[in-house]
Amino acid sequence: MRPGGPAIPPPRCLCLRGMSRTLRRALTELLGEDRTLFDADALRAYECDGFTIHKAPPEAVVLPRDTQEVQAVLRVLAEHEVAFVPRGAGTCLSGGPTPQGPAVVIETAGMNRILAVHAEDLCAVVQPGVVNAALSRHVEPLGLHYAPDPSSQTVCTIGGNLAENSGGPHCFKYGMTTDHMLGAVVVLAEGRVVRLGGTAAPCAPGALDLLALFTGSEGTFGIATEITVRLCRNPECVRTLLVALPSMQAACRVVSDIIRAGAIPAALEILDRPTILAVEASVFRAGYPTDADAVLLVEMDGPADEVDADAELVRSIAARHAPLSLEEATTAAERKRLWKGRKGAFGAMGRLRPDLYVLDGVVPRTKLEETLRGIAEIGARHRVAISNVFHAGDGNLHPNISYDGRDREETARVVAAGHEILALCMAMGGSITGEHGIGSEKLAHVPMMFDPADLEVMARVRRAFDPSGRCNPGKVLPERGSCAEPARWPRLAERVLREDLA
Amino acid sequence: MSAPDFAILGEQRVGSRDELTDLLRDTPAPAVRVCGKGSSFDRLPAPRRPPLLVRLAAMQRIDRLDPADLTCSVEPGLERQVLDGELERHGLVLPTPGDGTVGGLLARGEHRPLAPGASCARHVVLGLEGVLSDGTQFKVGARVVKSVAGFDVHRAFVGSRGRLLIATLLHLRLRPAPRASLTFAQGPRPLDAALALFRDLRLLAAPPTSLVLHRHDDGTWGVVGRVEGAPAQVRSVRRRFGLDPTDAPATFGPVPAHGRELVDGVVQPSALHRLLAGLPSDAPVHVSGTGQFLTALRPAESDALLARLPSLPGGAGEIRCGSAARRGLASAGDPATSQLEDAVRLALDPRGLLQ
Repeated sequence: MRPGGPAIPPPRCLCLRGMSRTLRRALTELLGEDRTLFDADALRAYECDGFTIHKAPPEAVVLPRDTQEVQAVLRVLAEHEVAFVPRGAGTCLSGGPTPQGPAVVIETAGMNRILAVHAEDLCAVVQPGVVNAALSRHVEPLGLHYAPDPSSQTVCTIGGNLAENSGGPHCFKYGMTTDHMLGAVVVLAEGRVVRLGGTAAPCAPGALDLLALFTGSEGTFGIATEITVRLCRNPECVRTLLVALPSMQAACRVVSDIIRAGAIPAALEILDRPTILAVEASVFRAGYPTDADAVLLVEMDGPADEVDADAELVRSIAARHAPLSLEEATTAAERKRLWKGRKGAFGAMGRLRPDLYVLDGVVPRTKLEETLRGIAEIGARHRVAISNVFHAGDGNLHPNISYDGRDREETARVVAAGHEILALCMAMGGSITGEHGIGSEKLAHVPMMFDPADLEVMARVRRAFDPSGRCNPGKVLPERGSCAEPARWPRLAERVLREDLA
Repeated sequence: MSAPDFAILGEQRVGSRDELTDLLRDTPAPAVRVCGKGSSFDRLPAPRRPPLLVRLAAMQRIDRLDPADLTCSVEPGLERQVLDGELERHGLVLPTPGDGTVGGLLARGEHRPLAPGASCARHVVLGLEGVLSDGTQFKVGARVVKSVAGFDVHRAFVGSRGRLLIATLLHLRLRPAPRASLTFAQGPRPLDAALALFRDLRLLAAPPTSLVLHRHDDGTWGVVGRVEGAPAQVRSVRRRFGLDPTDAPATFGPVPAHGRELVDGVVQPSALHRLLAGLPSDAPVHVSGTGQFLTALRPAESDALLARLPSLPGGAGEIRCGSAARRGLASAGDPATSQLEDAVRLALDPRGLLQ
């Protein structure tokens, strides 16, 4: 049992003890040689996602193209009692699509067709591999867009967004992925196809909202093969302001004052000084003032009258906090430039050191200042460089630790600092993840938030979807006892945390 | 307190989570029906077996209210009206329609958004503390506005009608009260004209937060709704569409006359004309901006509609108000999905106690 972990009985132990020839043949017959990967070099591309501390290549990768092929693959895997891991574009930041033990990865990125757009009904039906930004581009001529916009939106897929319940800068006003899902065709572990939600509403009158349960289940409930998403009308007007401030405290207070005044901007994003410097030294250079301790990006959208009123409100509030500068984008190109720095922040920081650990925690917005002070103290104590870029309106922090993963001692300090930061978020009354998910990264942190009884309730729901426990095993809920050789990351994390807690 | 229209074994009131837990662990009753004040008895399917009625109306505390963080935690028996009064003092609202107790309105989950992009019960629950039918106490979700830790069992509570779990503390999302608003009622007109106005308002980049198309007794149609936003924006929409202000609240759902029952359904908005053309010409009907509809029909008409709905895009429906024997009758759904629904229900309520 993991330290402080829950008493959850493990799923039936189903390991893939090396790919049997029969299974290889069965998968190859289904999809052909070009869509079944067994070669070690090819598999290495699937050994991790954006959470690069944990690497574990799968036993095989299959690339189905539609519901029927996914169903056929899952039936074969069920017959052989083999575990599998769904994977979209691999942009997840918590190890969600990284196998925790022997497993076949089912990559859905190739299922990338937009099946239907119903402009009148403000919805679209897509395959899971459709790229988030590509969907918005596709419906743009109709005056529509898909609202959730994670930072990786130019590459991440709608299927991955559904699995992770992805957020993004604009979810402060528009909500998370779960708020934009209407339905999904899902293939369960044994190959059964179910339809969750519909094309008109996420659940039929009188039905349970299974789609809400499925959303954010991190690939542990099944594989979505067709997804109906809600589309939004493009706003009549968008105004984007960049406020450079002399302190992080001032930036947080501007945000609080804006919300206290009753405004709901589309986005409220803060970047701290180390992030500003990294961005300005990178290809994502956006012209952020490098003498500022923090920059606040405020975007307002909606009817022109409302946006104008809000922009004036934001300007007057910012003026009360002695801003170093206030810039407003007056053209689409300028707006794109202001966002370029924010959207490219993780990439910019990735250039500082070989590896980047992107943390994700939430605190009540009113605790942001205090939490950021605590994070700085933690960084100093563990001698790690932490920069912060975050969704201030939601209190969703992304402390980023740049490090060298080849240095085991430094990596151990990074892991320990990350653990303390999440503990701090919990102490503030928050959450250990706002949008990246638990994956494998936060398995050891889950008991900070949920006790064994809480986890048992969730485990019951999981077993209802996947009684065999073969669907992305070892994710979201800590499990005790497994015949699988523990992957490097959980082993390392446990060792570090044990020492840290001792 | 309302009385149920179905047989019960007895009635018990509980005032705390622990009391509820003890009751569930010790009860010899084969079924339990949980309610607040009981205002929804005639809106939910009757239990298959006479249940022990457990009232949560005494659990009515506001546990915490954090205006600056736009969140609060309340007990399920708290009346919506009382919460609204408290929120008003802070310039806040609970952004979902619905009445009765907070637990009841969320468990019923009967209101999907009344307009595109509008908030509803599904959007306001951030987390909850609850009890399973076997007495397991647990929590899911979080108190903060954003969290993806664990599975969203709290979201499945919305609309579950108490069949999955019993919530004892609800963590809710709040919003600032709108700076200006206008409730409007557009007068009688033919269906095509009303549908055209309804469509234009529905497809606005910033649509009304509530939008309802309804049939008058004389067969003409009206559009009612509510526009919210900055004062200039509200004025602008009013001018553009010539909206007529009204003091009457924009309600959703006709009151069924004697001999009629209420069918709750949904279709894709593009199928509304086909839906409405197929309804009896004397049937009261309300349609929301997202394609949800409520119509009062005679039993034979309800049966015909439920049979027809799956042939319409996105179509599904259920008898909501009516005789105890007919409430809950629904249009045919996907059998595999129903099987999964049963598995989820069984997972959380293995004894089938909650009905």
